[in-house]
Amino acid sequence: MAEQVYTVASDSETTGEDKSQPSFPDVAIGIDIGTSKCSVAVWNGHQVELLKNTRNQHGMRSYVMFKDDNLSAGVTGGATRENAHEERDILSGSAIFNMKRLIGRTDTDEVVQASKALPFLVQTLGIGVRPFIAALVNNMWRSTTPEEVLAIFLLELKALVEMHLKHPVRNAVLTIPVAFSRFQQTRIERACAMAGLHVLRLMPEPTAVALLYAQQQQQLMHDNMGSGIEKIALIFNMGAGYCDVAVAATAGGVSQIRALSGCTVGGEDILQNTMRHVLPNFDSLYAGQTMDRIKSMGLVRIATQDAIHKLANQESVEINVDLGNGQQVSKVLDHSEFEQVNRAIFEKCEKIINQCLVDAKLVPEDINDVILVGGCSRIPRIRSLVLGLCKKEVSYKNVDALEAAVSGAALEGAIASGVTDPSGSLDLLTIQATPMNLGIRADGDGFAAIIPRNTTVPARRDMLFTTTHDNQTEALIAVYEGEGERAEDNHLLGYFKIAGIPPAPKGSVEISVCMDIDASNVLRVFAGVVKPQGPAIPPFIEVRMPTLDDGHGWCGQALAKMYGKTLDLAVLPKKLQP
Amino acid sequence: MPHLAATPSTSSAAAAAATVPAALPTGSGCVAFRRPWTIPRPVALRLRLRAQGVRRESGGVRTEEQEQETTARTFYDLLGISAEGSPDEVRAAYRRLALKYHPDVSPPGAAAENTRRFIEVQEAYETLSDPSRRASYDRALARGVCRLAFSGSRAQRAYYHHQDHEEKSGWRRSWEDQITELKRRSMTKDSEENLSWGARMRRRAEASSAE
Repeated sequence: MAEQVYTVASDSETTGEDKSQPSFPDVAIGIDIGTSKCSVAVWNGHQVELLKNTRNQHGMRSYVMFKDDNLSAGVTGGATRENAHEERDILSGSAIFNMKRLIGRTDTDEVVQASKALPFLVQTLGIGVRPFIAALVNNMWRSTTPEEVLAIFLLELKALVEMHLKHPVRNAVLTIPVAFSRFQQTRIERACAMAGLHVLRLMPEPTAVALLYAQQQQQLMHDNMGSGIEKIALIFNMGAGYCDVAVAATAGGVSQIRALSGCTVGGEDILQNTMRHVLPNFDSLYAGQTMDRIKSMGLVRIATQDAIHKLANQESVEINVDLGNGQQVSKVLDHSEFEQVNRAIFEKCEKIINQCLVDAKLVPEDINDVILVGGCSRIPRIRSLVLGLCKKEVSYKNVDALEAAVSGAALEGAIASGVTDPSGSLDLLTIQATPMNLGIRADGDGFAAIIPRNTTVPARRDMLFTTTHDNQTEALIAVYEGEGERAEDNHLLGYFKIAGIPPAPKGSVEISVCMDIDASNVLRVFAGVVKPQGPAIPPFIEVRMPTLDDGHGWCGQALAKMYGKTLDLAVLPKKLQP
Repeated sequence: MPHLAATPSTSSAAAAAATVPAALPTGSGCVAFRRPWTIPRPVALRLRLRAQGVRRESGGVRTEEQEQETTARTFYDLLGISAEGSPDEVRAAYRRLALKYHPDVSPPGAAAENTRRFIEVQEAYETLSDPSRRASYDRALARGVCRLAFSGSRAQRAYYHHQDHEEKSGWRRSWEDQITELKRRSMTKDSEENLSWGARMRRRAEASSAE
């Protein structure tokens, strides 16, 4: 029987002849920029292909080396084997790495504070501005920004892909951590724009893995002629910088994200905890970066990292480092010690897994497959912890821990580029959910969530508010994103004022605030007076978020201090609503 | 003048039912994603949609389903299932309609309308896939007070958002709110229903400044 082909013609060039030959130049590439490693993949017309660099690596170290006037990123890693950057060069202060942890954060952020233990310069003033970051070039600190570093890296990555595909590349799907705020997302988009890449979509990492899983399940179903039974997968992804969990329900190529949760905890924290354990006077020893301190800190870092990797396969490991100046570190580290040192991190992982299950309204018995991905998924304690919570003996086998996310991103890139595949392997759909609550400041320092986390997108929700003072004519709408109970515990995305509220006793005016996330994941906030009605009310205001640029750390506090009392709103109790 | 707070829904059932988008096979192999339509992309414009494999099964019920949708009155009608439909049927219907209305699989012209439809389908699915919500909904249906699946009423919406934090008693109250709202709306059925929320806002603003 001839296959039915439906054609929706929207331009004259439509022909159906080249249906098995997707036009290559338009296929978006998939990029997974990891805190530690980065990879890139593309749909080659039949399957996802992971690209290798000139040194034959799939996973390329994420850093940019500043040397004299030359910049070189980890994509080529010094271009050839002879010129290869060694790990100790990367840790010499001349390279900037961990961009993904620093991007879009202010100097009051604890993640930025923790980044001071890195060999390059991270200077903070603690006033809610972007941190000062610099690399050592000819014994001088040369300033840069996380966006710039990321853009340089992406530029080199783009060149690699173009060399491989032999045509220009413009569009990309990037994976991002679940914990990334909307503000951080705009920074990633900016870095991509600087590198000449158009972001087709930013995809939370575990949802990219879920897409790959959906494709595999779809394939299995075709092969076995099985029925389209819904399968629930819990995806746990932990890399060097972030930890993410997703629960996805999959059937018939549709991957429905039931819940997402994430936090800024990863291998970098494990490494730092372990370094401080191995070298108890780590912080005092390395306070203030001098050339020899940077060098010896690099040695400790390499030795500790190596030890952690070895601990995945052996009971204990010996760490020996010569710090110079006659100082020597010699320590035997075993599993129980390692786990004790990093207990808080493992607890955090447990917490977000449990939260994700609760949010998905599922119990461990509902889960069909547990998918463990990311570099940290190799740590035995992490594996046993996740499998234990999900009451499973083994994890899902058909994905590569380091390549699953980028493969999913490449699939999404192909699908989003409109590529079809005769075998149906691109007949996939991901129904995404919002990872964080979106709402406004109300009732003093409170946070009223208008779109709760794990709401399916696209979404539109609204909520009624009222004035807190008699004859209050203005109200501040401060939009936040996050999990905190108080507004200040969340990320401020933007703010605006409703003016011209008709004078009335407090509590009698009704102000509607509506939030809309459209198909492009753009957030818009609509607000205005809905009661009283009449000619004397001001027009509604529509604002696309986030509106804030850099240096917003203290903006929320400034707003609260200046206007918190006078322009406050209260959530209208539901019993008073019509 | 109807209460504004009651109207900021994406679309009313009447508006949704009146404009069924162009027939789109559920097994659309050519998937358009969120942003693609904002950038020039010949491949995406050459939508080659195929009905194949498992999706062909669902293609078979498409016509019937669309007929139902044009007269959708309840969440069951909207999902195209019977009131006795099992949880698996609810899920299957949801997936089928998601493949039809999700903006990622919509052709450029229908993306906005389909987004509204998708949000409705999502609401129906969220209600019917949760046993306690479904029971409440069924009770309301049995009393014959819930004719429209989507009134877009503020009370109903609030009810869905906050049900997790509410006591069971809150449910009934919300439904009663909605009933009141529905009755009121049927009394004062205004033409604004067919407009988008933004359009209604603008119209209202114009009207009030003109007065």
